[in-house]
Amino acid sequence: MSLIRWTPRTEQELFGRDPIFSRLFNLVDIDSFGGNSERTWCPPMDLVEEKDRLLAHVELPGIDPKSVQVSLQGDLLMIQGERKEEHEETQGKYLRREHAYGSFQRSVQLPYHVQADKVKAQYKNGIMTIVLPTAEEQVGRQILVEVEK
Amino acid sequence: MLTNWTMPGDRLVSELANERGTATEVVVPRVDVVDEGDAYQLIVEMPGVSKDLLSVHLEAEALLLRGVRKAIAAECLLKNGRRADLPFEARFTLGADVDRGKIRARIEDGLVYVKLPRREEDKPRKIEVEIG
Repeated sequence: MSLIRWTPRTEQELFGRDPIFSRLFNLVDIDSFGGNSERTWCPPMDLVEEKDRLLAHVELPGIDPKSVQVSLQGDLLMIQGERKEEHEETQGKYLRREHAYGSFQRSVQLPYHVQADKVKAQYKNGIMTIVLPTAEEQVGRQILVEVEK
Repeated sequence: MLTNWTMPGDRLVSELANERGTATEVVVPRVDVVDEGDAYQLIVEMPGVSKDLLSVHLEAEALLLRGVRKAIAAECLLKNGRRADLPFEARFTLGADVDRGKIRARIEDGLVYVKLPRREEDKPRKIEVEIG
């Protein structure tokens, strides 16, 4: 018997790379029918590949970026934090509440290694962009292929 | 009173349609509506929309909010993402108690805040009861 390191299940394990199911998973996971803040919700994410870096764009409107924790465990990128209620301290009462509040978590398996010590994040217009420079061995790596005659 | 005639189900259909790259579809954003007594507050999610790509129109009976999130180059996308600009649209029917001349909107961190003050005569007020 061997020990296997446990890692959280990612949506890719569940649905592969199908964007439709991935999107459906995001939408269903967000409690839009009552705003139960006890549950963890899952923000939508786009993963973008550029020449020498990956960009993860995570939709987090109205969030305090300091409350977001970004971590890398091997090639697994994890984003977690909490979105606080807008009106918990006011006299107002909700007539309609569709936003997801409370703890959120999102993870994605990166397609290749990145330079963990050079990962940066910025927040603009409600989108958190995580910049992940590709590990040097991945950039411009030439693979020699022997051709049989 | 303030009503919104779109439902969460509409959003699901719209977002799935967007994944298929049909640029004519729009996303109905998630909305919180708060009654603050002397005003209604709308908080509309439009992540990725900048101030210059947001428009707020007051029509005869409704308030229309439109925003656009710019697309990511299709050849770069590994996961999710849009093949076209992502348009958001939310329409609210305004009740007679909303003071149309005092509506204010601002956008901050992907959230559009719209303040809809109640007309003075429609604001909740305390009525003194005389004991005779």
